[in-house]
Amino acid sequence: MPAEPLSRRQIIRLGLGVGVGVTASTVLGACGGDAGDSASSGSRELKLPSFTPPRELPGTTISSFPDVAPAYDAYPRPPFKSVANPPITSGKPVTTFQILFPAPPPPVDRNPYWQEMNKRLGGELRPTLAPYQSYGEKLQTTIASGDMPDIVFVEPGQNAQAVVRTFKEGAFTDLTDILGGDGVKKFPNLAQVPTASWKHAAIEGRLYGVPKPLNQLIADAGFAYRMDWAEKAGMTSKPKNADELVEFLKALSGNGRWALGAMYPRWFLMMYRAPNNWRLGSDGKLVYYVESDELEPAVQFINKLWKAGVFHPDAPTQAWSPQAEDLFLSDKVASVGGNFGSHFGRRGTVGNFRNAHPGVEIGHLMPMGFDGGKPAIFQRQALFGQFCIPAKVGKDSARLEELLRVLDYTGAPFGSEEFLFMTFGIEGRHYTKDPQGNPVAVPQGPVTEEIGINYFNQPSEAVFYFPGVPGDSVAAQKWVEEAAPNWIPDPTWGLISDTNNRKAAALRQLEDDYLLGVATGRRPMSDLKVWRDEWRKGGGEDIRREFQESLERSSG
Amino acid sequence: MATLPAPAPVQPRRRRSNRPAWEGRPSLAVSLVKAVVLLLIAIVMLYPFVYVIGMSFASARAAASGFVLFPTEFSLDAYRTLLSGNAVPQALQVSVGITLAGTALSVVFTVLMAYGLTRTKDVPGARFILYLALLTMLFSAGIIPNFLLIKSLGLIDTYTALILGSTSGFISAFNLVVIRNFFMELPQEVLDAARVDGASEWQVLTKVVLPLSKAVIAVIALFYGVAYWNDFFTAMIYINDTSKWPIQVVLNQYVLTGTPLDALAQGNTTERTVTPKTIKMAIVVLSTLPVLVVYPFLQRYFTKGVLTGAIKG
Repeated sequence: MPAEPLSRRQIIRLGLGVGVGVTASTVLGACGGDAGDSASSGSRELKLPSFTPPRELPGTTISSFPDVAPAYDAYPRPPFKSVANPPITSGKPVTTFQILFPAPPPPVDRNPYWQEMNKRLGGELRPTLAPYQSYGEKLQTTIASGDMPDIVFVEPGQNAQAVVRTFKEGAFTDLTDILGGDGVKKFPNLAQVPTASWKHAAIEGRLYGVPKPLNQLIADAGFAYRMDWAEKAGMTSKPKNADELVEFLKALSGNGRWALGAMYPRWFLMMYRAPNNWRLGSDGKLVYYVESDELEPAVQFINKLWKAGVFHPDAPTQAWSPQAEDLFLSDKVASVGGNFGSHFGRRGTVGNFRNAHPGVEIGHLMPMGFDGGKPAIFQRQALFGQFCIPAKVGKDSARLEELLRVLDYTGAPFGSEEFLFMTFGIEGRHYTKDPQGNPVAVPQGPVTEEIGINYFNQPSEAVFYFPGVPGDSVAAQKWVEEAAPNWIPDPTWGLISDTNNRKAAALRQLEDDYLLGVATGRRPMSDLKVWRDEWRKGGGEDIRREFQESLERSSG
Repeated sequence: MATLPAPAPVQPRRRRSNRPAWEGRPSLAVSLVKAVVLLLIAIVMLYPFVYVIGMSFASARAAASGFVLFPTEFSLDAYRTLLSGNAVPQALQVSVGITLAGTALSVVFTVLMAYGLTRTKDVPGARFILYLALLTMLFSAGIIPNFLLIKSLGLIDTYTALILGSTSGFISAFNLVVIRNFFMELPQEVLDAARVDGASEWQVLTKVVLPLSKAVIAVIALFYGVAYWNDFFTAMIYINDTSKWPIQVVLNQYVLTGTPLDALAQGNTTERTVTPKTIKMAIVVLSTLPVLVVYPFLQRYFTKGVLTGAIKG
């Protein structure tokens, strides 16, 4: 599958104050709130950290679906304090390795945000910032050097697949026994991290880091589309099956406009209930989506849409990209996919669209079953990376506890004063407040560059909160509620395959070539079989075997 | 009886000129074809530059049309946005400094090493060192060994790492070979005459060899300059302090991540003054402009220097 781990742009859309959903409990089998919760469903008994429900706040909408997070309409006034004392007490600086998405921040002597961060932590923070695109090389080089900072952000999906092996090789402190069960209650903010995030952070049944929690709905799980164009074309109701979808998209195309600005292959795979990357069969065998029976009809459908002219001509080069968003904002295409978080709020793609097109209503379209039945919505891991502590550093238990306190501070929950600082910056400098008390970021510029060091484990991308747009948080929650009953996980999460680490990028290229090639008619449908064979010979069989072995190890 | 007149002798056909056909003056048709082909090639090569520059000066509205060669609405907002921040001006300063210092040092050391290696028969071990240098053209040690070396020298997070650890090499084996070959082509009699007059090797190098080598030195200076200016990977691996990042790392952030964009993310403003594309094009212009400015001044040395350095007599 364009087996996208979460990409940067998906995350960055969620930026300041634009949130997506978090589940308040796990999805697969375990339920939150109990001490000593364990993950089951084929994995070794992992003693997950117990879950403390978040504080009840005014203006909160609790979902009727147990795995969907509350939606917040406003930021509490005043925000509560979640950490009583600064976490650093040893006087030693805390070094970190972090990923950097925005422009590089100014150094600490010219950076009030950084200075304030040091004051709040009670000590000096010394981050090493790795540019997003080069994060993988820099992380691997840092680990190989043997001289790692105190806290290391590890996200293998960002071109750092090989790092997964280092977990089992003892590079990072095993936190399972420290944070498992009631152990996490020593760090009250970490105890509010959703159980699903901990579960998905586990590597072969052990915990090595504090996850950055995230919504479990993948990017491209929904389109935002222009209802004015739909109404003008007579499309007043949403399509319920594949045939109706064809008519719907055709109606949105024509006269130099198109319905879709990118290919969004996963959306259509969900319609045809293809595996979420892998499927664990009842015989215990892993099947890759390329090998599944659902692939061909899904690709045939995309090809049908291609021939119907609903895709922009540049769409094949834009499986998911900012160009597709530009096309939407330039009134060239009727819809936009991307991270569904960018469909809500003042500052995502749709927010920007609304600013430029006041009064135009936006509709949301989730995948439907091709036959009118239920789709299979691809779940995403409930985290984007995790903050790990090197084994060498973790040997000192006092230092380990201090670093976990730092992560407890940076992971402060929504509604707290610490969350406001971590996510938005300094009031009056990086944000102001609207009459309802919601934070409003100042215009982008040299001042906003200061907060570039703030990418920690705060749950800003795991809550339904869209300041300044009342109703969007509940709308987003409803969208996740619509998907949640039908979402399916990837059974290889938390498993290790060395071949996958080495060859994932090359095999992904194969997928882009064949899937898009067949979908656009550049290749015949029979090439799907060629793709399947090339995948198997190119490392796919080894990957399957290694994942199976890892699954057996995880099962104990 | 009358006799038939003898047939007139057959005159051989003569070419109009004795010069070979390819040295002859081309016909008008051939000239026209050549002109058209060259024009097409020039358009193909210039088009990306014109597009990038045009888009960088386009307003958000003009850029939204998707294709801008000559903007209908001119705007400097993209440049204002970039240069008003901290990151780009700081990075430009770093890049200029590293390029100037690195180029100067690399040229000096390459010249010294090349000159020393011209006397492989007289200098013990010179041939071995030459082979070692040539070996580096075949393969590199790799990212991690290089990182460990720089780290063991205590150069992580220093400007020195950007020079000594440069991706193309502080002393590039290719440039070394080019200069060495050029030195070896110099008339030995001139050098011997200088030695006979009592000049030391240093004086031979500085007073005889270098004045004759301006072209090739200009060439390798250009090679080094461009390499240092474009070097992204070295900074990304060895530099943790973002204030020491050169322009290429910042360019990478802006172009690939689209920051600081979404100018739509400009708080409460409803009007886009810049778009991600105009910002990206502006930063591409800023990062390529210095090289484009310098190159014409060195161009006259370029062709001569490359050829004379590359050809072994």
